[in-house]
Amino acid sequence: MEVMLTLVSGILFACGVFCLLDGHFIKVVFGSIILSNAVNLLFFAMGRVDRDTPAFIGRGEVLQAANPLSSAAVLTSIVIGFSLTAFIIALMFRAHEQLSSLEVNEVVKEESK
Amino acid sequence: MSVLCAIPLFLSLCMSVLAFLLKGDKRFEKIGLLGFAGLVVSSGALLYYSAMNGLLILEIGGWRMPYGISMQVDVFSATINFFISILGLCAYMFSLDEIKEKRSRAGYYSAMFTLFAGANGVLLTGDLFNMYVWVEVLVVSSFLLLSMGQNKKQIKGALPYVLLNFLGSMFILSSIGLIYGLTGALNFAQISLLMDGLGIGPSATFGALFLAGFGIKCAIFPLFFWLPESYHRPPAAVSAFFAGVVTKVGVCALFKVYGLLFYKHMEVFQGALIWIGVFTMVSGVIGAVALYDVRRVLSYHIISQIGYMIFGLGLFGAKAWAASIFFIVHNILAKSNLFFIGAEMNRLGGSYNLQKTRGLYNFYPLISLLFFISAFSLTGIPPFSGFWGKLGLVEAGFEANEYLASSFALLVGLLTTYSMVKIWILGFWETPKSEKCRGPKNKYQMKRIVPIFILSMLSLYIGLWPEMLLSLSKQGSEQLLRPKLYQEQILGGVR
Repeated sequence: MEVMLTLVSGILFACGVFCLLDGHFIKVVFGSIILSNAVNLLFFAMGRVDRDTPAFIGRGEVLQAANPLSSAAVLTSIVIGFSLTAFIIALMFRAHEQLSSLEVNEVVKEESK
Repeated sequence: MSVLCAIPLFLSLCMSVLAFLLKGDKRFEKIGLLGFAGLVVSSGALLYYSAMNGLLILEIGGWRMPYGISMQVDVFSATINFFISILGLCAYMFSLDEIKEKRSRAGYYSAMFTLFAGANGVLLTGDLFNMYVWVEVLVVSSFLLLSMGQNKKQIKGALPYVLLNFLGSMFILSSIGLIYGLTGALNFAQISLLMDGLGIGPSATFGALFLAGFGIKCAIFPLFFWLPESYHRPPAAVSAFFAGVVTKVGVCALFKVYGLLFYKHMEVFQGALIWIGVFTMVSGVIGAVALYDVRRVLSYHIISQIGYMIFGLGLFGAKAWAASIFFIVHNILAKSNLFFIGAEMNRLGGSYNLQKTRGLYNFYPLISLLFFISAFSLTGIPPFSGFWGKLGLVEAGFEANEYLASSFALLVGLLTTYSMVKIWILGFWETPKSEKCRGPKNKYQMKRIVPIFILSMLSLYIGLWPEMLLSLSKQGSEQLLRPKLYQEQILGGVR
């Protein structure tokens, strides 16, 4: 299970980086969203994934317990990633309103004028 | 006294909420001043206790150490935290005059307090994931402050800043995730203990990821291009505490991470860090040479000063780190003060551009004197504060047989002097040419001149009487470089 998750995370990393390198800001936004999910998935896989085991067990029970910490941490990082993404999208919206183009090269060119 | 660890953090978070509720309200001005004064006092108390008693530890919510989140305050973090709070107080005073109603209605002061909460959190926490969360708090509030106002220039400056910082956060988070996967721990001391048993591979990987992540945030050599694009765009108060807080906290986090977690395999990074440092200083200072906009010159100098800190980090030894800590503190004071003075040059002389603002000395001797103190502190002329930091760094560099890198550090000092002398001669000394600059039109304002005065005097003080700060930074670096003792102090009760 962890191997698969790690592989998926690796593929997402590749896609995210590919999109980040694109010349259009909208694609860069997509890239950052994918990248943040890749990292979340990586963190989740690193906590070791158990199926059908409870995270909290009663006193004296000899069940195997799942690790709740990684889920909690991933939940936090999802929220943070989400808020960052929201900010980036809002910023892109402002940029779209105020700049003539969202092409990276155009913005740089406009700068040097 | 361990509850002191949480007070600066708690105070700035509460003040942030209060600022949000009272935004645009005149009554908040005094409350905010009180809040920052409280921050200075509580950080001062924290520094005093940590210098007296060594490590201060607070287990939040009573959860035992390796399991719950804890705050661990060493002398290094407490020192930086104290000086950041002083800068916060000064920046707040300056903002009271500079920040217009529109911005304060948009939640400027609230974001400012959140930024300081984030900085306190990064410095004082003892948990790696918690540190990431505070880094994000810091970074998001800096996004907000940078893009507030939403004019075209600011948006353009914010775009690369936001995207690159996002990328940096992702590097940091993936490194933390991998560390967690390998050791199963998030507490600094426990990771430090468990990393001892692992080989060179994990340390090298995680250290490199941290270097990339925090390197983007503090603008080291190949990753600094966003900084001169964005730092000169917001109001001067914002630029000042960005220069003093946001980049410096990145550097401090690097010191903490390398000192506590990867100290065993430091030789992997040393060469790279030293030369990254050298390239950072050289590229920063060369970028500044040809510019005439005061704010842009200063932005480039931030990069070059970061280079010195990374150079010190790479030298890795009690002496070099003590010098670096001294240098960071000196830089927090002098650099931010120069941004304030830059804003005053704009207000009094009419422009940020040195080709237009000339001869301020003829009409405004006080501000000229204060600029002289800060600028020559920055360059490292002997009686001023920058001298001690640079002296220590270069000395440590020679002792480590890094002759070439150390001579670059000296050379960069010379070029820094060139830039500062350029501002001094053009902006202050020369006789004003145009009619526009003749005669003192504007008066000093208390809210602006007092913070500049405080920071200059502090900078002068640590230049003339450096013993106290030198001993503090020595204590801080020795504490950071004794991870075994650190592990014992924190985990001693557990094992």
